[in-house]
Amino acid sequence: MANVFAQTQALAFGKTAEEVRAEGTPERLVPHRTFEGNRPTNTILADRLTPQTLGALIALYEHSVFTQGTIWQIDSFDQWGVELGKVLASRIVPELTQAGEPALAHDSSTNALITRYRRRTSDKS
Amino acid sequence: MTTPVPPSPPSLTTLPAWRAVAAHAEEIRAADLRLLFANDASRGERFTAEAAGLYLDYSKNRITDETVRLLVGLADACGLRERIDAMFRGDKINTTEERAVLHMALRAPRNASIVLDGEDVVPRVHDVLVNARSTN
Repeated sequence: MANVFAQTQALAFGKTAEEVRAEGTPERLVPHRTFEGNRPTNTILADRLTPQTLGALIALYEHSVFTQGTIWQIDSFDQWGVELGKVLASRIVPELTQAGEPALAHDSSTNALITRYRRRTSDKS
Repeated sequence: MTTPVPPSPPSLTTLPAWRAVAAHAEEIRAADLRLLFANDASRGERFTAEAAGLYLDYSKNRITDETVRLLVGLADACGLRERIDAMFRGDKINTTEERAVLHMALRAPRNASIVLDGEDVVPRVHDVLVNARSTN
């Protein structure tokens, strides 16, 4: 946690050349140890990482996108690509779960991923 | 029957609230976090928010009270509150698929009830959750 807090300090406040010189740093190293700062951050704290907390974080980003879409007049819900993904996924589900080797007819990348996944999961069981 | 296409809102950049934010952005661009903190001892407590078990500290942004006021004004001018209400009512705000969005239905407990066009959608959400668990 100390690192979390310290990074926000480093980004926000940096370190000036004068501060670096005051520490007796050799002149050639001053530019390397000088940091502009003034970089914004947001810090989010939660008491515990639970499924509820993780869900709240996802919901927060969902609300953020909704808000940005509303302000910038961008339709955040126009996402036929997600719909396409769902259709394609429904074809892959049986290829992951069926008992016998499926006859895969996707591209070679997708075929290899499915084959590797099947091999790994059957090794485990 | 198709859902009528809602009238286009006025262009964002013509809104007075947007112009106010844009003008303010030019002023705040040069702001320095060191100075903002040095000149305002309560900044780290004031620019925070807490909800749903999360605590957000947004004080280390180049913002002032004026920035927050203008941004909230812009959100108001863009009808954010109305859009949130429309989402919760189940209005078909996904206009290209003509569907309700109802994101909160995805987080509703099994015993909740969210009715859309006469159907409680919560059982269907939980059917998908069960399905996702069994094919992971």
